[in-house]
Amino acid sequence: MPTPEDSEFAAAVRRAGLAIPAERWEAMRDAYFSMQALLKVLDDPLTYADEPAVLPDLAPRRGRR
Amino acid sequence: MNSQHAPPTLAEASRLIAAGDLSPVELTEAALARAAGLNDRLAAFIEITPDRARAAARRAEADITGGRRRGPLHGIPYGLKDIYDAKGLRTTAHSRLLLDNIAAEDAETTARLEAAGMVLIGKLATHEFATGGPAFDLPFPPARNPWNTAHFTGWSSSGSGAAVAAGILPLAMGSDTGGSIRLPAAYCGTVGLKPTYGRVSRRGVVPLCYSLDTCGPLTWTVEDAALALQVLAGHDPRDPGSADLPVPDYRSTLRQGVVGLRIGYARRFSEDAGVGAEQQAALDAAAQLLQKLGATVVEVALPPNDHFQAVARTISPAESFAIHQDDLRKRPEMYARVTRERLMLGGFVTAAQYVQAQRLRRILTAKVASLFEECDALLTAVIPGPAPLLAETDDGPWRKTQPISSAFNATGQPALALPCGFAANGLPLSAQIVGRAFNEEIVLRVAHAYEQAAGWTSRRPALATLPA
Repeated sequence: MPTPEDSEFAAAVRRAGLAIPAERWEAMRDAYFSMQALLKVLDDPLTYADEPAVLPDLAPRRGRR
Repeated sequence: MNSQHAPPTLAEASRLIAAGDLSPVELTEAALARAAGLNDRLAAFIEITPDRARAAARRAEADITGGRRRGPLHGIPYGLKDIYDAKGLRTTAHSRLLLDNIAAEDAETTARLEAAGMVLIGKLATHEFATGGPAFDLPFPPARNPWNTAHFTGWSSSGSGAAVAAGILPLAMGSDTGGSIRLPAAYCGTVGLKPTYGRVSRRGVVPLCYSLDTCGPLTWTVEDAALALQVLAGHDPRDPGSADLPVPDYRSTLRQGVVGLRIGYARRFSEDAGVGAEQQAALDAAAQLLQKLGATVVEVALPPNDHFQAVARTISPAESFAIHQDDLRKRPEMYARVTRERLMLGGFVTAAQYVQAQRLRRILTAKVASLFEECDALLTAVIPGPAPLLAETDDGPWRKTQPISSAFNATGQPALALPCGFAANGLPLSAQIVGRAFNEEIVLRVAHAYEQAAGWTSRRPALATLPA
């Protein structure tokens, strides 16, 4: 019986249109959940004013002098 | 040339050529001999181009002796990571997917180095498509570390780091999406400069991640990095990420020292990223030396490393997947296993995660930029070091650790890696100097002052002093 995590990973693979060989399935599944764990921080609330960076905001700024 | 000693740096070669004491043809022959002689051990080159190099060296020599010297880099050998186009040569990106990919024109950076009169010696090993390797199931082997060939060279500008550290080339071009200039520099004991995003053109360079990729030099000294950047920096209207800003004279400020400068030491940031006691002591000593040289060193706090990592490890795989999705679906077997799996992870990033990462990226960039209202430069580690054994390098689809370097890919500021000591096993340790956006001159100035006082550049791998 697949776990919810198994189903989630299988769905992610299907959505991406990828084929993962059986012998690498577990390694990729672990990698997927390790990535999702790191990306949890992206769920922290942001304000409406926090717009995406299209490119890094690198307008030259004045330094301390 | 005395081949018993390390070959000259870019600046030394430039001075010797200007004085008529060094022939570009002789210098090129020495570089070709070292490249051919060491490549079995180092696998630094994918392709060595002796005919092209000899012809360029002869032209340079004729021009220089005829009073037509183009500038400080004229007649000096260099190499290109094999993601840079050079007209008429293959650009393989170390992949079997591009084995027949002949460049129709020079990358903008290649064109600038050629216009400066430099002599291309060959194309250098990377990790496939500039992802982090190493991979052993590709047509070309991974490069090896000249300090100890059983060890890893660092990330993808691997042949560039190996060739500079081994004294084959005084300048090799690299690219840096998460640290791939600075990590080979750190592990191979060279200088590696990731300029500000937008400072150096990326046109004609195989992309990995459009909004993080940065092109820059690996050299033996900071002065050499300044010399190279002088030629490389500048607006390219054909690169949509290129900044249209004036380029300062990097050499004119290089020797101004650090008296009166305020340097923020992000000690805790390095510690939290897993830097060990040996490297932390080397970084502390670097901070103390900068203070002794006249800088004011204060501890500063950067945002948490996992915020930077979440940004970098969302944006980079997502953009890479967008580039490679067709091949990953239709002919995945063409990639090395490690490349394929790491690129595939990008297919699992959702649109909302990508946008959130770009929102957080802007916040982090502003936070780091705000530190430069109080400091002229930052000091931190590049990656916990020294270089691991090649056989023990993490080759899983998800890297268990991410280098500190990628923080400044996310924020775009210029960052330079340079040696700050040696581990007990004889391998180099590295520090990182970070500056305000488009203020590479302060980064170079601080790094040069430290480098001159610390003296680590006098120690080279034994391979670098072997006869060619």
